This record gives sequence, C-alpha cells and structure tokens, in this order.
Amino acid sequence: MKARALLAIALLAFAGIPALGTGEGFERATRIRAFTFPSDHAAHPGYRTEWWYYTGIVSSGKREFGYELTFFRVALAPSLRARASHWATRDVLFAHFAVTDVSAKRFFYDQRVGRPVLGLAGYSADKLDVFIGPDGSAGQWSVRQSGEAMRLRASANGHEIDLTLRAKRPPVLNGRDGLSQKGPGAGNANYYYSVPRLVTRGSLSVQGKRYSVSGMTWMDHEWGTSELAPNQKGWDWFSLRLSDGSDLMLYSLRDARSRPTPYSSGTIVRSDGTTLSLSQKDFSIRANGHWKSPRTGGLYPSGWTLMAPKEKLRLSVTPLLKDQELVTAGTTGVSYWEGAVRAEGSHAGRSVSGEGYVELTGYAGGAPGKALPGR
Amino acid sequence: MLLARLASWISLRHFSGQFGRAAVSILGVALGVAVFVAIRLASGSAVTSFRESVSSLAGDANLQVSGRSQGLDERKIARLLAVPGVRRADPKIEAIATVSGKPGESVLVVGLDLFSDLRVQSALRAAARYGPADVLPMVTRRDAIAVSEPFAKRNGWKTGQTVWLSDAGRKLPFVIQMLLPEQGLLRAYGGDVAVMDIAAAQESFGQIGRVTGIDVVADEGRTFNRVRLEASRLFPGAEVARPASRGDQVESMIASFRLNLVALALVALFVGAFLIFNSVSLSVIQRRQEIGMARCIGVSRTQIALLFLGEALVCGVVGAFVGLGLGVGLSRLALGSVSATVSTMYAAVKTTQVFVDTPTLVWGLALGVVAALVSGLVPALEAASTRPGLAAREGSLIQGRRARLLWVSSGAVVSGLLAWRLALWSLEARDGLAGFASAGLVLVASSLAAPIVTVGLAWLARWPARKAGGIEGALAAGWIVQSLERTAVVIAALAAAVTMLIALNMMVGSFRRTVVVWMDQTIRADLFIEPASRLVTHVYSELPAGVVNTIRTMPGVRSWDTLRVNSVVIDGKQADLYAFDLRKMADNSRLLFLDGANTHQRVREALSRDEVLVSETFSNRFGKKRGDLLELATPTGMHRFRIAGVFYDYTTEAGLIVIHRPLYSRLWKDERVDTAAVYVKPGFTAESVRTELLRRIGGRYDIVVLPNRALKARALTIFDRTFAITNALKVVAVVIAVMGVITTMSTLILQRRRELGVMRAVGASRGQLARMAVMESGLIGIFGTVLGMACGPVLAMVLIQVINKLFFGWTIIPLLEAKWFFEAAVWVVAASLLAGLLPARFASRMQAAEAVRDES
Amino acid sequence: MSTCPFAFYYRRQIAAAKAKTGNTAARSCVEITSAMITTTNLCKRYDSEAGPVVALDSVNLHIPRGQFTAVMGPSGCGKSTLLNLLAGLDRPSSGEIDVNALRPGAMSEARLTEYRRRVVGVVFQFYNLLPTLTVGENIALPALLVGSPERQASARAESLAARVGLAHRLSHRPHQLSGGEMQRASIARALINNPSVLLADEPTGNLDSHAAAEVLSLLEELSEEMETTVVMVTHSREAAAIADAIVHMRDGRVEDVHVAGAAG
Repeated sequence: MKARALLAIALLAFAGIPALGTGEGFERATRIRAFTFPSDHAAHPGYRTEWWYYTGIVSSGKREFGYELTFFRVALAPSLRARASHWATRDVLFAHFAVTDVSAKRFFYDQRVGRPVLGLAGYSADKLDVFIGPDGSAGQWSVRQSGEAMRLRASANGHEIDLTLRAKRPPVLNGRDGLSQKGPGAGNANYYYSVPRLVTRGSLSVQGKRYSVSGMTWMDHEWGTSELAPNQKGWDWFSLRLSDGSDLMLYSLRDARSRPTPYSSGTIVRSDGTTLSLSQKDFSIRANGHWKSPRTGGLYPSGWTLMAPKEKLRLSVTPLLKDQELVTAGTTGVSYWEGAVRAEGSHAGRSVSGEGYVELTGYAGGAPGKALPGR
Repeated sequence: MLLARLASWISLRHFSGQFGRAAVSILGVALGVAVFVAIRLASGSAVTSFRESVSSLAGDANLQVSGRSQGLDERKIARLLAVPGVRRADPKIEAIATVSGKPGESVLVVGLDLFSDLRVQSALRAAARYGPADVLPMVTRRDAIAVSEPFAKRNGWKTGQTVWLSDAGRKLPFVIQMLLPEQGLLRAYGGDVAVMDIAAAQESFGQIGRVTGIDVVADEGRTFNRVRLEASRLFPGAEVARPASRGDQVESMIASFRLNLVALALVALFVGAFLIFNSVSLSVIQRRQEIGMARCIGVSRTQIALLFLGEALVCGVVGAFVGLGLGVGLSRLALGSVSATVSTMYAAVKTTQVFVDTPTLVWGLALGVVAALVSGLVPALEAASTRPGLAAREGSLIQGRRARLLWVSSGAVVSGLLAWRLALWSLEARDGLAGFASAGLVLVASSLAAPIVTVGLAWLARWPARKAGGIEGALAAGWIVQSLERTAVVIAALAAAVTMLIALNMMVGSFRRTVVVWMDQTIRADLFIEPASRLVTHVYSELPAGVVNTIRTMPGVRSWDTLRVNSVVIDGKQADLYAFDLRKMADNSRLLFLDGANTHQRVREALSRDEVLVSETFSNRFGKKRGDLLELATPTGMHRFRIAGVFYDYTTEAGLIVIHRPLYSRLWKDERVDTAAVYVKPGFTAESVRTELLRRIGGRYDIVVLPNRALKARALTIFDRTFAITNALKVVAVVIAVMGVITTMSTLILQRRRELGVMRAVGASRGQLARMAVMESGLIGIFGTVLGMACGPVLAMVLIQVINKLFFGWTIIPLLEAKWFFEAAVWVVAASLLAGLLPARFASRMQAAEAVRDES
Repeated sequence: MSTCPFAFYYRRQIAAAKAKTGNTAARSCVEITSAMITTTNLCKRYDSEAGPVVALDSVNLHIPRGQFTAVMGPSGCGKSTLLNLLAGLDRPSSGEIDVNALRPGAMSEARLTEYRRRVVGVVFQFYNLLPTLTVGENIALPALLVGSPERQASARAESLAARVGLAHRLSHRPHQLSGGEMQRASIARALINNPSVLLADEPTGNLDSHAAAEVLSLLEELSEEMETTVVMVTHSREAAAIADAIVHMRDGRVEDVHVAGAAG
C-alpha cells in the first residue's frame, strides 16, 4: 500500500536517513505474478521497499487490547558495492510496535532501527524471518515462521507481545491480482497481499503485567519499487473484520484539499472467499467526529461512516481509544494516528459488527511529503 | 571591641605608613599561592578535559568495553547484547587523524552506527537543514564524513569539500557531507570531532573486523556486575569499566607528575612566607615603644600576640586572594604545555580551557593563610613577650642573642639529622609523604642555619670587605651581623631560593644527562619510521602494512624491526607493553640490565622459555623482580610470564614490559605495527636510505622518517617541555627572595637612621651611604648564595635518590656541573645588588638633620 | 693642600698667617686658621603636625676666633637647631651663616659634605660611635671617609686616642666603653681632620659628674691647643663655667650674651 511506503520514508527520516533515488537497478512491480505461500512471506530483496504489517485485537477475559507490529525493509542501493566492512549494509530494517490498553485507556508505542549485519538484525529471502536485535537478547523484535504459524515478538519498556498466529483463510491479493498501482506509469506499483484473519494466541504485557490473550490479527505484506505521486497530504486507511465473516480494506489518499485522489482503493473479501476490488468512486468515507491532539495540535477525524453502495455496505466505525497517536519526536514532524477501532452497521442486508485498525496520516504538523525526494 | 581598637591604634595607622612593605609581603604570598594554583589547575584541567571528552563520547552508557590496541571482535557484539541486563551496546571506532599538510592539527574521528546510535541522533537532527542528498552518502560511501562546526571553521572547510586526513600514516580523501554543531558527542576532544558511519570508519582507518570500543547501557543493581563479568569473558584482555574510571586512570597516571610539580610550588610559597615573617618582625620592632606602653596600661600578652598575628593573617588572606586570581591567569599560560605533555605521554586530550575547581581554590587560600599564620607566629610571640614600660629599647635585642643563636643552630642540626633519617626511612617504607617531609626538613635546616652561617661568613668577609670596599665595606659587613635578626631571615629566604634553583638544576640536569647517556647506548637504529599522527599522541597511531612492506624490500637496509605498543592492567594499574623482535634487538642494539647482565644472554633466556623483560620503573611500581611471575589478560585468555630480567628505561614511569613479537602476535592475535626501525647497510648513508624510503612510500602515506639524531632530539624536547614549568618556579622563588632583600634593607636603613645621620655628620657623602647599602645587599646576596650552594646539592640528592625513586623509580646518575652553581650565584648576587639600589637611594636621600634629631 | 677648595676664600687669612708665623710655605688653610662664626638674621621655620614652628627667629651672633662659647636655654629654645645649622646638617629658612667667610647656608650638598669633613667636627649627646667599628676605627672614620690612606689615618687616630687617654681601648668596641670614655672617643673623632670649628651638643648630658668633668677639661685643653672655635650646647652650669662666653637663648632668639672674664 502506498501509505506504507510513505510511512517508511517518514521513519527513515526519523533516523535521519531518507531513502531516495530513482529506483534504478531495482526490480519493479510491472507484471502480474504468481504468489506462492509460505515462500512469499519471505523478503523480496530485489525490490527497494518492503514491509510486514500486523495489527490485532486480542483480549484476556474482560480486558481488551489492540496491538500493532510492523517491520520495514528499505534498500539504500540496488547492490552493495564491494565494501570491506561487515557493517556496510544495503538495507535498513525498521520496526514499529504499539499497544492499546482499551480498559485502562492507555496507548504505548516504540520504534527500532536495525542494521542487518553481524547478527544484530536480519531478514531472510527464503522464509519469513525478520528480526531486529540479536538472537538471545531479551529485547529482540521478530516475526518468524514457526511451523505452520507465524510468531511475533516484541518488547519495550514493560510492554511485550509473544503471539502465535495461524491463518484461517488463505492470503488475499489486493489491487489487480496482487499488483497494486501507486501512481502513474508502469512499474510504479507494489505487490500487495493481506491475510485478514489470523487466529492469535499468546501473551501480552502492559507495564510489566502479563496477560494470556487470544484474538484476531490482520497481516499486510507489500513490496515494490515505486515512485510516489506528488501532491499528497496524507491518507486514511481502514482494515476491518466483520462478524459475517467478511473483511474490508479501504484507503483514501487525500490531496491538499482533503479530497480523495484517484489512487484510493479498497478490497472486500466475502465470507465465501470471493473478493471485490473497490475503486475510488465505489466507496465513501465520512468523518463523524474529531479529536484534537494535545501534543501535536493535529485535528484527526474520530469516528467515521463508511459506505460502499455496490456492496450494500454501511458501517459506523469508532476508535476504541481516542488518543492512539504516534509522535515521532519533533524533527521530521511526521505524526500519525494508528488505532484499534470497532465497527457497527449492515452488510448485504444483514446487521454486522466488526473490529479492526485505522491509520490516519497527514493531519498533524508536517506532511510526510516533507521527506519526499526532490523536495 | 578592645582588640579592634587596639588594632586600629597600633596596627592600622602604621600599616598605611608601611604600605610598601605590606604590599611586598602580600605579593610574596600571592606569588607562592599563584604558582600552586596554576599548576594544580593546569594539570587538573587536562584531566577534566579528558573526563569530559570521555563523558561526551560515552553518552548515557554506564559501562565501556575498550579494546586497547588490539580492538574488539565485532562478531561478539550480538553476544554481548544477549547478556541479561544489557539494554544497549553501541559500538564505536575511534581514531585520531591529522590534517594532511597541517602538522599539529588533529581531529578525533568517531565511527558509529548512524541508524541506531542515539548519540548521533540529536546531532543529525540538527542536520535536518541538510537534504537527503547530503545524509544518505554517510552510510553508503566510505569517504563520507561530518565535521564539527568549530573545527571546520578553523580550517576553512565547507560542505562538499574534499579534505585529506592522515591516520596511522595512511592519507585518505574525505568528502564533507555536513557540519554539525558542537553538542553532545561533538564536544569531545576540545570540539575537534568528526563523525562517520561505522562501516566507513572501519574501511577508512583499517579496522575491518574490529571496533575500538563498545558503550553499554546496563541495568544498575545486582545485574551490573554480572554484565561486567560477562563482558570481560566475552572480550578477554579488554578493559571493562565505567566511563568515569577511564578518567580516574588518567588522573592516577599523571598523579606523580602533578604531585611533584605542586611540591615545587610549595617551595615558592615557603620563600614567600619568609617575607611575612620579616614584615611582622619589623613592625614589632618599630612599635616596640607602643607595645611597651600598651602592656603598661594592661593589654595582655595574648592580645598583643593576636594583634600581630592578625597582621600576618591580613597579609596572608589578601595575598592568598590575589594569588588565586593570579594563579587562574597563570594557569592559562601553563595550560598549553601541560596539556601537550599529558597528551603526548598519557592520553589523547585537547585542553582548551581552564576548569577552575573549588578544592584547588580552597587549598590555595588555606595554604596562603596557614603559611602567613605560621610565619607570623614567632614574631607575634616575641612581641607578646615585651616587658611593659617605656624603656623598651632595641638594645635588649642584643641580649640573649647568644642563647637564641645556640637554640636556632641546634635546631638546624636536629632538622638536618631528622631529614637524613626520614629520607632513609621513607625509602624503606615507600612513603612518598615522608620523602617530601625529608626534603622540607632540608630547607628548614638551611633556614635555621642561616644565622650562624651569616655570623661565620661575616667574620670571614671582614678582611676582604675592608680591602675591597674600604671602611664602607667593613661597615657593610658589620651591619649584617649587627642586625642579624633581620638579615638572617632574608639570607635564609635567599638560601632557600638558591637551594631550590641548584637542586632543580641538578636534578633535571642529572636526569637529562642520564637519559642522554642511556639513549646513546640503547637507541642505535639509523632511521625510525612512524606515522605522522604519533607527534600528536601515541594512542591510536599505527604504521600501515604497505609501509612495512616497503621497508622490507628496501635496498641499503641491513636489518630492520618493528615495534608494537599495547597496554596491560596488573593489580588495577596500567603498564605499557612493547613487542618487538628480541633477537634483532640483541644483534643490533642492547638493553642495560640492572644486574649488568649481557643482552644476548638475557634474550636467549627469555626466548627459550617465553619469558618477558621489564623496566626498572615497572619493577619499582609493581614490586616485581627477576624471576617473578606476571599474569596478563590477553584476547586468548590469561597467560603467565616469568620475568627474565629488569632493564633501565626512561620511556615511561608507568612501567614497561617487553615481549618477543612472535609470542605477542600469537597471544594477542595482533599483527599490527606502531613504528619501525632500520639499520643501514655499510656503504649506504642514513640520509640516502631515508630519501629513497620516502620516495617509495610516495604521497600515499603521511609518514615521518627520523634519523637517529632527530629522534633523540625530539625525546629531549619532550623531556625539556615536561620540566619547562620548573623554570618558572625557579624564577618565582628568586623574585620573591629578592623582594625580601629590598624590604629588609629599606627597613634596616630606617632603623639605622641615627647611625647614618652620624655618618653624614662626620662627613660621609650621599654616594658613600648609597654604596654601603648596595654593598650590604650584595653581601646578603653572597651569603645567601653560599648557604644555598651548600644545601642545594643536598636537596638535589633527596630529590634524586628519594623522591624520584619513590614516585617514579628512575635511576638518575647525579651530576654536578659548575655552571649550575654559577648560574645561581650570578643571578642571585646580581639581583641582590640591584635590589640594593632602591634602599641605597633611600639611604642617600635621608635628611641628616632629622636623622640626628634627638629623641627628646 | 693646594687642592683645598676653600683656598680662594682664605687667601687673605693665609697671607696674614704667613705674616704672623713667618712660614712662607703654603699649608692647609684650615690648619692655620681657626674660624670666626657670624650669623645674620638667621631664621629656621618648619612645619609640624601642630602647625608651623619657628625654631630660630632672627638670630644674630658673632663668635670670635678661638672662643669657647656655651649656648644655654630651656627646652625648645632652638639651641640644637642652631647647632645643626652651624654643622651644615640643615639649611636656614632665611638669613646667613658665615663660618670663616664660608656660607654653609648656601652651599650645594657636595660642598656641604666637604664642609662637614674638613671644617667642622661634631660631638653628640649619644650614639656618637658606630657600634660595629672598633674605637680606633671610629676615631679614624672621618679621615677614612675623606680618603686618607689607612696607615696615616690610623696613626693619627692612635695619637688622638692617646691624647684623650684611650690608647688602651683602641681595639675595643663601643659597647665595652663607659659613657665618659665614649664621649672622649667622640671628641677624638671630631678632631681627627683638624676642623676649625668644634660643635658639641650636650656632650656631658649623659655622664656622671666625674666623667663630665673629665670630658669638659678635655674639651677645654684641646680647643686651646688646636685653636679651635668651640660652640657647646649645654644645660649644665658647670659645663658653661668653662666657656669664654655664654649665649642665652629663649624661644628662638638670643636673649643675652655674657662674656666671662678675660679671654683665654
């Protein structure tokens, strides 16, 4: 998803190293390809940017939690010129970890950067294995294939997750059979699939207190070498699991006047497994309320009404916690909102409820466009 | 309060009248305190700069793993992070690079993981004004570098510019990507810092596979020690310590150096104290009448004593404060030289400012005040013993002189004997303080001997004075004895100054000579090859392999060898480790062993049993001798070495261990080289080989090739610089003493008004009176010099055989050169004669009538 | 002899003396004449803490050659000041002093030094002798200061010492002498350069009557022998009794001059 690319840029800027370049030398997502799993869960180093994105809602008894763990891989150059140092790296890994404690109304987040050298961080092109922090170290963040399941681990400041994810359904290809166009021109696209329903079991700790949890996780995996279109202020992105067994993924790319641009799109996966691609004119997103961040002063929409008439879909989406904003310390000015949400409404005539995650960028301070190349 | 009123009646009124004398006493104390403060501040600042540098670099790390010369295996960092309790472990490469073409200009280059190292985050965030095109190359290019703003400004550098830096002889181009403000880690090394990505740093400075250090943030509490242990296990031979302890180490390394300088400064204060003694005594004499009257009306002895003690105290306090200010100013002057010495010999440091620490100021103040009180005590007590009544006269001073002379002289003898005993004892008990006490007692003895020596010398000088100066000469000599209580003090002060002058000359001169002789015998190579950065610091200076190879294939080279320098810690103290080919050394040169053994023989022993050789200073400092075992931590584990021999060495006071190179390379897994030495084939000249070598090395490397003479000359330059500060001390002591001559003579002339008046009445001309004053000053100078010449060598021996042995452990062959005596004599006597000019003027201007005016 | 700086002034006296003694060889001017002292409107003022003080107020005196004059008066009458002026130790505020046609009041410092060396000899009440020199050296001091060769000066000192009865004390130090002996030595010292004027400031003030009598008789004899004009300041009537004339002073003025009997 284009959004993720922008986020990657933003995070790179956080570390002071924006990725850029013309994309020359990298593979590009130009053609429709066959996806094989589980091998496609692994990294695709030929492409410049890649991420693995996990959000989930889990609970332990009455306590409800949302979590997010995202790993990014950004290549600085197509290939490493023969360099003698073992620290010379072609890629950089980032990770992003957030926990929403709904009952306690608390939101926590942290981020890490790692250089995949000398066992300090790494990724595999053969299987799903991305980690930051060496093996054996207490603070390692990782996502790994563990038999049939995926295992997620992260910990920071007394917040921890150790979750095992098992897919209930096969991965869903987004865009056109997995080729998701980001902007004009061939090759300006990513390969993109989601696994909307992963049964989640494991432990989650908040402020040092550990809970045995279970729930559902949504996974996105995207890779490509795409140029980003100019004139983007931000985007709103929704991922929802509905009680009737269907899953919804929508994003709206906004321009300077907050109007959706043509590259906005979405996917609906019905309970029978069929998918429907939505284009910008097929759906609408309307904000019901707002929340102003005391930190950044940004005015985020809080609460939405989603409508996709073609699908007879109408949902009212509410954040589980108003404040789920991530602030990247002042310098790049990129702050965004990524939080667990609840949905209510109707789908194909039936009453449905749902849960999921929403991501909002470009509402506070500097737009991610600041870090764009050529600026 | 009665005392205050008395004070104003007796003291203040006269004080303002005697302003000149008071000012001089104050100045005397001020100079003594100033020198003390300056030395402490200058050397302390060097340590503080180092600490701040370490702390700036360390960030919030609470544990540092330092790889010494061999570095740390980068593959073990992941394992270190896996140790429970370790929250962060940030690697770094540290190198000191010199700017090609600008000798003396050096910069600390730090290589860090620019992605994850928090230390660099704030600096890079400040670089947000730069675009991505400037920042990305930092991680993708070997030559990308970010430089601190002040350093760039000083060298006129801008972003985008290509600059050439040399490290370990390699000369490499770098492209400046950004200029960073001086904050956080950019504040280390006096602000002369450059930052690179760790990969680029490794490649630029030949550190592939290793890092210089790892900065660890570990949980405090019980796990901390476990983390430390684990780190030591992971990195054997490395130094694992809190950042603060590195500063502690440097501090302890220069402790001896510092302590001795301070002790010398105290001698200056000692001389200054004489002036207060003088000043208070003179004021007691002048007010003898008033004291008698005061006692008549009921003022107690204690009150009188307190009054004069108060005078001394005021001089001391004012002098101490002036001294503090002066000292801070002087420390700025001393800073450069002290910092350079520390940097060359101990640790890379750039001291740009003086850190004024409160303890030094408090000590300086306390010393000034105490010196004043102690020296004012005797005259104050003397004043207190004045008998009540108006008949108090100076004549009574002559009474009891014999008895006092006896007391004081026996005191001199006792001090001398005590000094002797204490010296011997301090060597046995290895008590440095006792050694200083012994030296102090020598000075005390010389001061106490001043009166009797003055009487003796005056008696001897009668005839020569009469012959040379006629009746004026005889009078001058006679007056010295007549006013013995005053003149002896000044003579003692001069003697102390001369003693110090000669003792320092002797000690430094002997030391220098010993070093010269030692160098002649042991430094035999024709050429020495080292990286240019070695001029700045011995730390982080290596010779690139390319240069070694060039030497290997040079024609005209009969034999060549390399030297590797590392360090080890034994019993918490650091010593240096030198690795070179012992066989080659034995063939071409030699070591001078304490037991006189033959070099070849010792080397054979050492080689056959994998033993080491240690220096005399090492033996002294660590208490080890031939045959003892040493346990050293190496990257391949702990190893035991027997000591095959102890040799004379003057390279470092920390102690030196010499090990055969192949053995070292094997155990330390270290093939690097610091410097190389070349012996030229017969038929070739050193100069020609040097030229050829430089030609072959070409512009790729920044290498210095020193001929034998030049290396020795440089060593002597460093030596001289280390002792340069003692010259300042010599001057200060003499200046203070001479000031004493002026004040004493002036007051004596005032006291002798009546006699001088009579002389005028019987026809003495002004010029004759003036000449007499000058002659008396000159004689005082001569007497002081003679006494000083007798005591100087004694103090020198204490310095050489006791203090030096206790603190440094060198063997110094005492040397006596006539010119040191002459230098002292000429300077002091000349200065005394000149000092006599002012009082002489005073004498000649006196109004005869007033002088003879009756007291009634 | 011929380099006596005052030769110019003395040529008339030299001519007269030559006529009197029939000695045509030029001799030291001071040796052949004793001095005549005249003061004209001599004033001395100085500032003290209490305000300006007039020590001498228009003193007019004439002391003939060879006369032994005593100056008496209460404390503060100016007698010591007068003596200091005559001795060239101080300068008058106004008025003139004429000592044998020499004007010490108007002389430069260098001339005054010579004046003090050759023309006058001074004896103080105390602190006459320098404690660091022997008696012999003390007596010879003025001669040594003048630059006379040591042997000559010592010989002369010895003979003077013998004359005042201190031959056995030559190598002693002043602190070993009695008060009277010290004053006798002082007299010897004052006379060593054959001055034409001898000034004495309370020479017997510190002595007991016996010693005082000795010193006074010595003064009398020597001054006659050497034809020296003597001016002695004293409190003692016994001392004044040996004088030829007594000058009474009060408040800086000359009250009265009393000439005793026939001049000796």
